[in-house]
Amino acid sequence: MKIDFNQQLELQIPSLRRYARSLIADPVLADDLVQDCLERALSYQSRWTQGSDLRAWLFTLMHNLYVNQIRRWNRSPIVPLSEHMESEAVAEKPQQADLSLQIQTLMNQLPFQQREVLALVAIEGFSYQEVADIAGAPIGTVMSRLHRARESMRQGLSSDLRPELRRIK
Amino acid sequence: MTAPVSDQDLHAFVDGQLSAGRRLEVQRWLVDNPDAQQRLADYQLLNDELFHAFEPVLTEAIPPRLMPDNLLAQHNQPLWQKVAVVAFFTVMGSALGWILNDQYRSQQPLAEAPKVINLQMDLARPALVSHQVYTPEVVHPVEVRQDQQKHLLGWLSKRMKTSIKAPDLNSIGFGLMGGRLLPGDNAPAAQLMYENSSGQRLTLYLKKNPQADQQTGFRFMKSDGVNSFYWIDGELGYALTAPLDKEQLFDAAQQVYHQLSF
Repeated sequence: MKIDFNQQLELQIPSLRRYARSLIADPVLADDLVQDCLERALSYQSRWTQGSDLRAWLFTLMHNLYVNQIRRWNRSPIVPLSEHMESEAVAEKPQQADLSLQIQTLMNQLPFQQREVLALVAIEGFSYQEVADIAGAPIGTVMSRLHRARESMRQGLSSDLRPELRRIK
Repeated sequence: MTAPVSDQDLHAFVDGQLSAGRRLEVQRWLVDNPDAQQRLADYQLLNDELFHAFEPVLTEAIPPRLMPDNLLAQHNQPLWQKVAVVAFFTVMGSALGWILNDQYRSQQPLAEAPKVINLQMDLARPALVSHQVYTPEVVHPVEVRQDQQKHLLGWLSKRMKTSIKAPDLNSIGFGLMGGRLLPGDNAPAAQLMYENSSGQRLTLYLKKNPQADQQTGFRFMKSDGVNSFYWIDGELGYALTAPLDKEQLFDAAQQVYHQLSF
């Protein structure tokens, strides 16, 4: 049985949703991005070469869509819902000792380009070269974004969670 | 003469993107660099926490609006067609409603169908999804590593409520990496992952079969880049998936079958 394009797409949805969720904290808006991405994939279907890496292609489509979305947001005077929610979430969280939540919050505070690279590497497991292709940036830029992302997250952790990190000693 | 260790090396170290040789050099260098050790530990912790924070999204039910078949329908139709389709179904729906309503009243409610595992939908497809989702993972391909094999199998057996054994596939060059528990929609499922020396990964997906006396032969499924054999043998359904050709995979499937049922 040969799997058709729709079924191949369907197999990629879990991982696309995870990636969208790491970019946009609000689950509904994140799924909107996934839906845009899938719709674009369906209409660009002919541009995808059978046998090449479908997952990387879809992530590239999603990157481009999201970058356009940010541009639109920046032009419009209305604060997008997700950013509004993120800042509220940040305000609530510092007392919480939950490491995982803190890490998600810290990630949401990173500039988009750093957050994207970190998510593609640490969560999605792409190689640095693949990340460079998806983000349309030279590999050196990818490495420096990754470095800045990790270093600023480490600094963010240093205040109240540091003792927990240091306990290895 | 080895190159000095850079920031890039440290990132590549935690991301599993260093060559084996360079990895060794970095490891030696780390011994005398406790600050760098701490940084690596932090990076590793960030990787682990990020991964675990977002992992649950993978097994959430996919909202119907995202299913490609639903999207295609909305997408390629001009507006007049959509309107026509809606109008058509409204009329037909009402008509059908009239007819069915009459028929339904005269009928006894249907007896609930016995729960039978659907090979394609309950076994082959979710196995393929989990294969595609987890085999590309560099940092976290498995939840419990093979070095804790006893713990792994005990844990999976307990959660699956049946004895789980890991077949030995070393004879075809695949060593066990570990496994993970997966939430099946109607029965618990597990995935065991194997890897050969060239980095190809093979997964064995196991799912509890509600009908313990059922048996099927091997069925074959081909998808983009990977092949699967799947079958049911008593209490468990199995799906073996790997980027191998059909004959090689068939040998592997036979090995699994023989080791697990005798």
